[in-house]
Amino acid sequence: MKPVTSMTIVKSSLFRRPLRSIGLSAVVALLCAAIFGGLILSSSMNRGLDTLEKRLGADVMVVRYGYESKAQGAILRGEPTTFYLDPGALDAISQVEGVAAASPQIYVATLSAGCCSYPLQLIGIDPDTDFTVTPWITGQIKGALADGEIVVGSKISADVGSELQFFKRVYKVVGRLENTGMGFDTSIFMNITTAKQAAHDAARVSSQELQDNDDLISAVLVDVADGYDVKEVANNILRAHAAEYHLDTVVSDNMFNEVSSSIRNFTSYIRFFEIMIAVLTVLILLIVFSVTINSRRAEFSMYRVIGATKGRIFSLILLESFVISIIGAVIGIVVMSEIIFPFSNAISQSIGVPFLMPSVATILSAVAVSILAAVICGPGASALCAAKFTSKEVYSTMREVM
Amino acid sequence: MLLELDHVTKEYIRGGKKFFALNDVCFGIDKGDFYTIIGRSGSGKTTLLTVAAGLAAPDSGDVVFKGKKYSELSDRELSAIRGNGIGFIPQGLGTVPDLTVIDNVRLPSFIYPEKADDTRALAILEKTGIADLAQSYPNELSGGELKRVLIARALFSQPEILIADEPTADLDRLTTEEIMKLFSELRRDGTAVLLVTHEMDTIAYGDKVFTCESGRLTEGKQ
Repeated sequence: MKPVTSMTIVKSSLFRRPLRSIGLSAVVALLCAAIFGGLILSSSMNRGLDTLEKRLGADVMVVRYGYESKAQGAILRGEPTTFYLDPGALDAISQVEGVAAASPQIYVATLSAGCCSYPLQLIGIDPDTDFTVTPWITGQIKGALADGEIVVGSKISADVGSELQFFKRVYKVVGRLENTGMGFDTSIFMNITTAKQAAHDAARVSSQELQDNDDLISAVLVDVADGYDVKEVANNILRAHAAEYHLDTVVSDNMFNEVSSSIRNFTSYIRFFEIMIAVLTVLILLIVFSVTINSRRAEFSMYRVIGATKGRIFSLILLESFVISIIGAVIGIVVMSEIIFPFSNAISQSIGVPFLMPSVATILSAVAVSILAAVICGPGASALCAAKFTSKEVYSTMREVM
Repeated sequence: MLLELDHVTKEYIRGGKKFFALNDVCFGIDKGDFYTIIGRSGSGKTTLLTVAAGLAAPDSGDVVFKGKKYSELSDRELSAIRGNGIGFIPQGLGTVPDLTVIDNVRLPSFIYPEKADDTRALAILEKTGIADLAQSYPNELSGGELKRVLIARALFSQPEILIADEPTADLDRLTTEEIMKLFSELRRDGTAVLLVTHEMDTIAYGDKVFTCESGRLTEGKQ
């Protein structure tokens, strides 16, 4: 025969009372799901923001007047757009005081592509002057991007070595970027010569007129020199050349502040929600464990009768609630993972902020924190009830239940 | 003396008034003694047994087990006396509903693993006539069968004194006789037996009879 141990008693109690066990586990699962989900969501958004700041790399983006929000939409949310800027602006902006570097980019929206059922953003960069995209493309390809070569964002389903076709022209995929949680994930990068060709192809397909020269650009990305105020330099650019070239500026800090403010708001909602759920859960657990322990007073008194110390009763109650909490925690985490991970894109779009899956280490930390919360709240609530029970004289408890 | 109650008093409040459940009780029982306590309901019999078993503390006076005063013992030491020295059979039904009969009987080995002895557990089930119910759960048993499970569990610990509160209350005449014979066998092996009963037939099995009335204990049948 198997020896009678604490675990034998706990297992019998859990399996012989399935409704009670499921109910208690469900309450703990709710707590764990809320904490785990909140941690994953907030760290995903914070990671998205970090990546956004690192990846854009420019202090100011100069675009044609009226295209500020379109440029932000392309960068943050991957909303494809096509816009052009007077190419003369590049040299003019380079001359403004406080501008350390200026590099042109071309933004062209595709109609559709073989890889995707939706339009994509083509971004042309100038390998000679670019200081924004090249640093993180360099890790993906050998040498500079040649004409006709493209690097695709992480969410575009095209393998390295394969070919994609836009506007009846074929491009070779030479690299694939890591996930950024922003519009770059659905963008395609090429050198500026290739992008100009794509821009002409796009104009031809849509029967639009496009100036036929080599200076076609959509935006100028500006790196502000050390010691200069970014906003002041942006204002200087506007003051000097806005009228002549119809310019507008997107200051990256402002853009990020807007996003980070959204993230801060959202994460504070999550925190509030988490705290509410945690408080409610602890209260529910206190009530449920209190009712459960009360209904088992006869059983626990009997352990005292046969020689169990208060500590032994305490540890038995704690072990049972610990097992329930672990089961509940695992259920909560698994259920929340099934919601968050497959639907991360939908969540990102619905909250309108960059969303980047956290690293494995962060996910494991969130799992650990959630389980820790469960094993503190569940056994903590039962410990309070157990302390109340064991503080009474055995006979007085026996008299209550006999 | 194995177990001694020295001027033990225990008061309760009922209906806003104090009353003595035990009033200056002096009592002693030694190895191999078989004492029976009788008395009307509410006379203090059960309180006396629970105080003797260390399940309730007296308001005054001392309870002494093998020279050790309960009032001077820690929870661990007093629990050890309950687990190793005393076999207590409560008046109510005290089984673990989620464990089988055999596991309920072996339950003391959960607290004191050195007591684990499956052969003895099965032998006690045979002795108490419930061997065929070993794998049943308490909710499948009758009141009399449950009482026998409690007796079997108390015996499993091989106590030095068996304290039983109306152990044959729910049993038929034949089973009552069997249980009383079992208690008699125990006392022959040196186990003290202290029994509260309402059944006059069972008095014959004991050496002495005490009467409890208004918290006072006196020797003899009043």
